[in-house]
Amino acid sequence: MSPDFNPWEKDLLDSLEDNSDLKDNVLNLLEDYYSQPRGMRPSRRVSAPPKNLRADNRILLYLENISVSFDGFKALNRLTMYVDEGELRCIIGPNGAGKTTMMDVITGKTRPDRGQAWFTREHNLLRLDEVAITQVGIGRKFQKPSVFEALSVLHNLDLAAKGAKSVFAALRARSCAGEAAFLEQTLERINLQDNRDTAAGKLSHGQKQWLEIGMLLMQKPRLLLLDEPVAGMSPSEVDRTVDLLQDLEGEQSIILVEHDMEFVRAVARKVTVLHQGCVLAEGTMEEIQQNPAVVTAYLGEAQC
Amino acid sequence: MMNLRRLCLVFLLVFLPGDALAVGEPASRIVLSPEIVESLRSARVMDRAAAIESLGNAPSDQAFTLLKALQEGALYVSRDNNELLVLDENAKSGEFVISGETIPVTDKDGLRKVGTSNSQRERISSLLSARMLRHPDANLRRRAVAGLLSDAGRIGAQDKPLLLALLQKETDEDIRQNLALALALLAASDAAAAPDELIGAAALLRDNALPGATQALEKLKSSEHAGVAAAAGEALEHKKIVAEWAAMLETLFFGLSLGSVLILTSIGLAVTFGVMGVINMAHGELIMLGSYTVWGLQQVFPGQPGLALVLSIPAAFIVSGGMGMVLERLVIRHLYGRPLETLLATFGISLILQQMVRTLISPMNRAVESPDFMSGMWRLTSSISLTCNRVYILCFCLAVFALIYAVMHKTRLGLEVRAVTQNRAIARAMGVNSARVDAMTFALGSGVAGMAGVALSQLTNVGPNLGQSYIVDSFMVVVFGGVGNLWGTLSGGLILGLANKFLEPFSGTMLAKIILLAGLILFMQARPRGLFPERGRAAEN
Amino acid sequence: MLRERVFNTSTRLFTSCTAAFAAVIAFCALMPEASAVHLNNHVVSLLGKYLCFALLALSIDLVWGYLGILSLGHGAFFGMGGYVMGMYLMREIGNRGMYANAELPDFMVFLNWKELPWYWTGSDSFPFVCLLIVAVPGLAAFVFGLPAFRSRVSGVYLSIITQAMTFALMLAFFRNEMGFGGNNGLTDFKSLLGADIHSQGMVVTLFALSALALIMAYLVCRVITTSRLGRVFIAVRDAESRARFIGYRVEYVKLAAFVLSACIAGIGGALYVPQVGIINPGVFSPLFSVEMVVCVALGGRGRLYGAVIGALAVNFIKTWFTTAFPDIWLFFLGALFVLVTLFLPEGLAGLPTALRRRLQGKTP
Repeated sequence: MSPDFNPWEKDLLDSLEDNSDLKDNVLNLLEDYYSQPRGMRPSRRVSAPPKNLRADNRILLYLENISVSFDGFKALNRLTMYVDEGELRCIIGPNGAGKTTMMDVITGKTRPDRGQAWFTREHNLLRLDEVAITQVGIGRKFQKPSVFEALSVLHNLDLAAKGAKSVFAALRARSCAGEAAFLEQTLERINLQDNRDTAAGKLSHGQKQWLEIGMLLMQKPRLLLLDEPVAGMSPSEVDRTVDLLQDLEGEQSIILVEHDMEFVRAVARKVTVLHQGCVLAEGTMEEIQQNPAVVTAYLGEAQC
Repeated sequence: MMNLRRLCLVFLLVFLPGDALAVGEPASRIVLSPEIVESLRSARVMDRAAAIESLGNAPSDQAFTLLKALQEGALYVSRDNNELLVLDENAKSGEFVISGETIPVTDKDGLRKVGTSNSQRERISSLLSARMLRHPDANLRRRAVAGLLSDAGRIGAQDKPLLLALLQKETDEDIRQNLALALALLAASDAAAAPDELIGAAALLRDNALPGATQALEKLKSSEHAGVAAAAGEALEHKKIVAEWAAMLETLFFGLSLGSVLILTSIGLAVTFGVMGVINMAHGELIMLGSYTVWGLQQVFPGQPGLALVLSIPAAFIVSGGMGMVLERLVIRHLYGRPLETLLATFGISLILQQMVRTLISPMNRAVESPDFMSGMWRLTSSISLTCNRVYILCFCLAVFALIYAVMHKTRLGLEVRAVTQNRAIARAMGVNSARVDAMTFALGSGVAGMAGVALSQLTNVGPNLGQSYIVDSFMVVVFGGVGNLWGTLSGGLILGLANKFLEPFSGTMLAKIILLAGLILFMQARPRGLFPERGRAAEN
Repeated sequence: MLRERVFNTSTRLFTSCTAAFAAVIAFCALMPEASAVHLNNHVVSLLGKYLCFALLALSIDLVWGYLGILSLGHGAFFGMGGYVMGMYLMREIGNRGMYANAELPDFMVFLNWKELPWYWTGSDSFPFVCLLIVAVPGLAAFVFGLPAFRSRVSGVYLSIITQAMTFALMLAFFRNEMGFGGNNGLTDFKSLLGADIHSQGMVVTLFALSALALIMAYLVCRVITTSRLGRVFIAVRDAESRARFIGYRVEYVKLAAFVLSACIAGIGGALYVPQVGIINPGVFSPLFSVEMVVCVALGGRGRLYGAVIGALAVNFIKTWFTTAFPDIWLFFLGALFVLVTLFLPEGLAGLPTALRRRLQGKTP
């Protein structure tokens, strides 16, 4: 099979005529790319190669010197943070520390005034819009559970499934067997197999939270952003959520914003404390709890 | 052509003072000399020249009336008794000149018109105007001179001695100025005039808004004398700038006026729609109720439209506000949180209110009187004058805005309203009686709509459809300004009003509005939440 | 598979009822005049007009009921389709007009125009006009919707700018310079495809076509709303942000529905004009659009057949009351709107469910 390469792709291949190894490599990459259905191909918008970005191949998400201000209020102030591939990172911090704003920046909802944000070294998040960011593999759960209330649990998950999402694709769409199996698996994971045909609006608060996480999983993201996933859950539901997250760890990177310290302690390896828009401390839960700056930040004013 | 124009002007000139004379003391009746009567009766037109001259020099009012009648062709000779008689305007009755007796006239068969030639009519007109200019009543002289000036072409070189003589005798400053101006115009058209005189004339004409002045100056500008041409050029430039400023100010005023109407009609909506989220399609009908309140009070106080108008400001607030409160209790209360359903229900209410007015009062427009203080003009300079009702409405609009703003930001009710708007649940938890707040807010918005109706009653026809013509505009203003923001409504209304009026000279009324609507649509693409969007987390949901 | 998906009970009921209704009316109309069941042309045209309004209501329901886009300017698309058809009918008059000008419609002769404006080009070709009937409203919806949905104008803001759109069009069409007959619009049609427009055959044909168009449009809407795209619609309506964050380009989803809806409205308008015999700027009046939205709400939104029921019911009541009780019909109509909103939040179409629920509540 010989896909229709762009002129510049052909130029590239021509220029590599002398170096057959490299040419084969490039050819493989391009064929891989074109073998995917059109809607599923990752964005090819060419971003300027990241300069000055910390060089470390394990890092999945780079946030460097991000500043955001609303009407003079600095929501984020030169925030720098890295998240590794497969890591489960908890973000804590008092109200107004900039946790939600940080998520908004990562998902393209808010554009920072300065700084850079990269997802791997390929995707400049500041150049992509929300949908493109979703397509490169970042899924986000909102603070307030947000599911499609009029649709059944199954349809909620089905809509979220990774696949072509253009208008015409949706019009023609039929679920295939592979997807159905993955859907069943996800249903089980979020413990809603008995409610598959229930309208999402009729679920309990905790079940909605799970459904939303399930919808994110259906997209097979590389990075999951969870904004207070256990808010309003009963203790037993929290326990199940802990299980779910620990189950996911290693498969996906997860950034978790949470106020519930018990929950954080249960799931977190590494915790980042945000305060007044910048990172106040980073480390294990024990280190954090013994950090005097963190203690004052929660009890009173602290400078970072 | 020139003659015809002159003639028309003289008619105008003669007609005005003629009226004034009619209401004055009864005209003293003198016995006309037989020669005059005879020459008027004569079938030959040429015979009349002498009579015209002697009538022109006779001081009596009757001579004036006769000349006027001659000029207008209203002087007849009866075939029965060969007497002169003057027909009234409608040619329904005639008055005998000698006896003063009045008879009804059914047809003109028994009458013979006293004809005049063109040159005679011209002579009569100059005699008449000269007479007017010499009249002892200063008011009449003023009008005569003003009439003289209203068309520069009317003054000829032969009038110069007369004008100079008049200027010498005249004591009234206004008239003196106008006479000097007339002389200046005369000088401008006089080829033999001295340069000094012309420069003086240019200076005089510079500060006057007469259309003839511009013509005269243009003529002077092409003068061979450099000084004259320069003075005239400068004067023309000055006039151009003044005219531009006047046009600009006038447009500005009309824009502000339209803006104030838009603000008035939409500010109540800014409260009910913006603050409470109720899409109140019956808003226009609440405005209409306000207008009908004015009409109703004018029926209660016949002959005192001013008193009725002032009283109807609070009355309309109570009527529309009360209606709003009833609607809130009966219907809207059950629909909170479902803004689109309120659209449906209030649309139904608007139909009911319209039909109610049609059934109870009348499907026809009602006549609302304007009190005297509303109907005058307010003259700023010779070229700019403002209509009083629009000035008052502008002030009224600002007052209403200040009132609403104060209620929303300085009172306990306003605080509670804003609290309920931002977070109903928390406001209730803090002990705010949200049901009462809703009712009060809706009543306030409706009451203000009623007050807007009072203002509208002075500008447009009061009828059952009054509200419909404003509802679309009102929604535009509120949304343009940004829902939930009073300042947005104020600036939105002003901007739309001004933009509309500044566009109109270039595009015409209809196209201006179309352009404005298209502009609004485009603007909303750039700022999807209006001029003053809500900020922060609350705006997300 | 598709058949199972699309044809549920209500759809079967709807299509068969509409088809049966149309058949009965057509049969009655074709009976000889002496027959007891004979319907005259006037009644048939009136019913055809209702069906056209039903098409418009259906198109509103597609965007409002499924996507939550409340358009207060859908009359504009209806009007565009209508004007395109009107232009064709004007050209068909040919030299049978008052001024007997084969080239120019009467109003242009009256305005002393010498030639047809460029945008009347091709208006004498029926196939081209058929294309324009969907293309013009579709394109207008695209041009209007693309920037609006892209910049995320939503909720009441969108409603108001759709209203501004139709209001602006109304003012524009009032102008004689626009070349659409100004205030009087397009009227005095004589024939359609050569056949007398007032003949019984034509009247019945147009009526049948309206019924057919309604059924087809209904089925198209069903196919879409029962597909995954239909679920995406509902997803966008219920949680727009969420839909975006699982990777749907919400603006294009909205745009697609909006354009399709405008096309359906345009077809409604095109069928409306020959049956009513006139099109004037009144169809662009904001009030007309609001009235149609009210029809949808009254019938029950988000069910498609609800919109049709609403449009038929409101217009039937309107016709009946304006002749029977001209003085108080607005009271009735107004009260109907208020009462339905208060007591039947799901509209007339929700009435059976509401009744069933109440019965079950009483006898558990």
